[in-house]
Amino acid sequence: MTAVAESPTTEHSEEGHGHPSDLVYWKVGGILAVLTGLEVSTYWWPKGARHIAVAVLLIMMAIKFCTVALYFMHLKFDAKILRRLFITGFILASFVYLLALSTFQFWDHSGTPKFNDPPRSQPIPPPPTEPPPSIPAGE
Amino acid sequence: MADTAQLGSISEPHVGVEDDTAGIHAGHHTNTGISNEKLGMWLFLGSECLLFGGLISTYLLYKNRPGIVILKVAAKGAAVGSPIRISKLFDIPFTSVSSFVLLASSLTMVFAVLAASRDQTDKLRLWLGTTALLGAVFIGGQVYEFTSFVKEGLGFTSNVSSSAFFTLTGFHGVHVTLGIVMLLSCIALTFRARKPSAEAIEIVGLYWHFVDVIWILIFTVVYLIK
Repeated sequence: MTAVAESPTTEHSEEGHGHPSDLVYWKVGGILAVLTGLEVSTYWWPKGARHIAVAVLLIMMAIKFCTVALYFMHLKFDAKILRRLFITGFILASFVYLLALSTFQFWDHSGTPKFNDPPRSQPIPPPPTEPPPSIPAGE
Repeated sequence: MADTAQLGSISEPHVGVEDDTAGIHAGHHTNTGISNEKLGMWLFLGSECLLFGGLISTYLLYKNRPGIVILKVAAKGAAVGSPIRISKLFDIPFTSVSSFVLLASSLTMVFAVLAASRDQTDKLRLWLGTTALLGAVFIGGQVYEFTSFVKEGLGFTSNVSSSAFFTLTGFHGVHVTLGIVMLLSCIALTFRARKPSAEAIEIVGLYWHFVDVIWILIFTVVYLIK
């Protein structure tokens, strides 16, 4: 018995031997293809349904992402520690990048030509040309 | 001295292990039960997530930034010399086909990993070759897309939006290219007496699937969301 075998963290050493059959992988591939087709179809949806299209796209993107990670990358069948690391890291990274985007006012349209704001439809007005108030002498 | 011996047994998981190719999820003599190589690849993919997360965030920030592309040739219903946003230049049907191709390559990679775990060398070469071919088709499509953009007037330095776009998709393309090199190397190694282990194929597969996962994000965020 080695020192490693005595370690309390060896509980995962024999985890995750299962492999789905070839048919399961074909089915998963088919589902991913259908989802991709649906995603592409949203590009031609009417303009009025743009917000719905964005929501649908994000949901399908998340489903595809998780499907590939769970089945093709074997996270579903592999050691639990990898799944935990992946989920923890993913949530943390998403939070960090959403926070970064918020810091740059990604969600706002303040009207200034910065970052994600659309181009101005009208020219920027010139700054006020009034001279600053003069300070009386002796004060 | 005892500590040193313990560390030695941790850092040399394959010494004396005869069934290295017996199964891709076989238990390893490490603290985590996962081989150091595989854990290293997962950590590497984690750092890659940070890289692509930053690139995607940058593109999102700059995608509508003032700054327009002046068309050199008539395209998308706009005349020569007229201003146009870069998203108007996207050829969605063409990029969709590329996405399907990359998705299909992920499926073929899975079968390559399965063939490796079953010790089926001929099938392994076939699936690895198919995956590399599909990856090459994807890269060819990207080169064609980039060339079209440049001809239409959208270069790397046209505006900040185009810089962010080319950096993001270009980095992804480089990753796919490196993946193709890995796949071809694996095929070449199968002709040697000492073939690559099933786990080595799985680790290459992890990288390839990661590249596919990143494209799932890029395709939606960059191309499809208006």
